[in-house]
Formats: sequence, C-alpha cells, structure tokens
Amino acid sequence: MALVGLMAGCDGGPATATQMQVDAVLAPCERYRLTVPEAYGLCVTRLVVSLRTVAAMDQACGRAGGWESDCHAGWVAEQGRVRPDRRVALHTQALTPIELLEACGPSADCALQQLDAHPDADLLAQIERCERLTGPFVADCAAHGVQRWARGYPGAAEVARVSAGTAAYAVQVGTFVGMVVACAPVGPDPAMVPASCPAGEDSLYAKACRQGAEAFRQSPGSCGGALPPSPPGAPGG
Amino acid sequence: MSALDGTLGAARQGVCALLLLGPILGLLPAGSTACSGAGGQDVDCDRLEGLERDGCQYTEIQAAGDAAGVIALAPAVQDALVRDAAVMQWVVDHRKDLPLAQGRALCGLLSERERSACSRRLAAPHLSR
Repeated sequence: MALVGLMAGCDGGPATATQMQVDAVLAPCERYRLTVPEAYGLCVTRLVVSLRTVAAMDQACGRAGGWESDCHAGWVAEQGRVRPDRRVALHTQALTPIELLEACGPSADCALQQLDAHPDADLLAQIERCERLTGPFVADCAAHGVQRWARGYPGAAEVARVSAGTAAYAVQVGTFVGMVVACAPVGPDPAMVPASCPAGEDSLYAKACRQGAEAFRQSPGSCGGALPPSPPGAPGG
Repeated sequence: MSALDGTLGAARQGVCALLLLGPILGLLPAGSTACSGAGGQDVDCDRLEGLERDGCQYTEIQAAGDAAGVIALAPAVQDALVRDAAVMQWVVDHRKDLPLAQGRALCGLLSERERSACSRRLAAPHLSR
C-alpha cells in the first residue's frame, strides 16, 4: 500500500486518499496494462463497481481507455442494484437521480437509461435533458419521452404547449398526438378539451398527427404502444 | 504500393523476424513483445506465452472476417478477461452488420458478467445502428 501510495504521487503531487484507494482497487489490472491494454480497460470496468464515490469512479474510469463510457455506465447501473442494507453496512447513501445522471459522464447510453428510468414530468424539460446529455441518442431519448407523455392522454392545452416547444420533433410529437386523438378514453374531467389534429394545415406536425390518428384507429390494440405498422397502401405506409 | 512503402515493409518484416527468432537464437530475452501488426499475420501466436500470446490472439480476433472466425479463435485465448475484451470489441465494431443469431452466439462466448451487456448492444435499437 505504501509503495502504491509513493507511485501514485509520482506524477507531481502527493497522492490523495481517493487516488490511493483507486490504485489499490485497480491493482489486479496492472498485469494487463502494458501487455493487453484493451483488457486493462475491461478490467477497470469490472473492478470499478467496488468504488463507493463518484470521484473515485471518475478517476478509475479515466484510466479505462476505450472502455471509459462502459465503465461509467456499469458503475451507475450497479448503484441501482445495491441493497439498502448493504448501503448501511458500507456507510454510503443512495445517489439521487440527478447525481446518477451526472455520474454517467461520457456515456450517452447511460444517460438515456437514467432519463428513461427517472423522467421529468414536463416533456419539454425532459427533451432539453435529452438534447444536453444523450448525444447521438437524442432522437431515441426524445421519442421515448414523447411516447410516455402521450400515454397520459394530454388535453388540447397541454398538446398546444408541447407542440409549440418541440418543432425539431414535429413528426414524433405529431404522430403521438394522433394516438391521443384516436385512443384517448373519455376522461374524468369534462372540462378538459380533448386534443385534436390541426385542421387545414400542411405542416409536418399536422400530417404526422393525421397519419398517426389513422394508424391507431385502424389498430386500436396498439393504443398506448408504438406506432402500428401501416397496412399496404395506407397513408404513411 | 510506393517504393518507400516497400522499403518500410521489408524493414518491418526484418524487425519482426528478429523479434520472433531473437529468443530462439539467443539474441533477445524470451518474452519479447511480439510484432502484432494488423491482424497479427506476421507472428505465430503459438510461439508466445502467457499474456503475450493472449494479446496476440486478441489482435487475431479483431482481424476475423466474420462471427465464425471469432467463434473459432476465442476458445484459444487462455485469459478470460482478454477473451471477453476481444469478443466484445469485435461485436461493437461489427454490430451494424451482425445478424442477431450470430451476435447471440458471440455473446454466449462471454463470461456471465459481460453477456447481458453484449445482448443489450445487439438488441437495443439505438445501440445496434
């Protein structure tokens, strides 16, 4: 441990407690570091789960090379599997959803999973997070959010609010507003104006809404789920 | 290929030959780092030992042209971690064109800890694009 501590300080300053902890946990991986560096990265990804803080995980995953994203994602996923009694024994606290999301670091897939697991109740806020955190998966993240939102069968006012703020996702939003139009049950609130597709409009949103409504009317069993496949010759098919 | 490429290629061949034959001829200590260039075609991995051999086989697996090649090569890698890393990397690199059945067969080569991650890479639409 002392030698590890001395070596950890060789890059210029005294080794911090975190650095020493990381060095100790990753010591079994050293045999791979120079001979098979790709395996070293996977080794780090496996052993990082025994680190208890985001700071330590960050340090460790920073050494994982091409496995850095998987390293972050694996550690975050592990936090969801730690039993409460184990946390008590380790004197650690569960991370909040925001902390878990931040711990995803460079892993866009991790961020997508966390945003799906702990979505913001406001779709516009959710989409903003998707755009900020999920990189190449922003369209998937937004689509998951839109589908989740539509399953709540929002009324006309909420649809107007969301559609005004999601021009970049006009097709996704329009399609699932179409689902709402086709599938919404008669709600308990008679004052809520039901959603409808824009009449007499040729915008992407309006077309998607009409096509979505038609598709879900023809396949009512799909209500609440993904867009059903269009029959041959049908609009949008 | 230019004359310079030819010259460099020949030089590399010479260095690789030295590294390979060096220990045998007593010119170099045993366990010298192998010349594992693209695909490791220049080096017979079986002439190496331990992690160096596994590392050489890792490179051979990355050069495999199809899933069948990976399935044939993977069992020879002695170190489970190196084997997992090799198979996972190949799956990641070829996931867009990998038929699901073959992908599942590759995931089946992995240690239990990596199998679910491998399967997810193949099944999740946003990861398999």
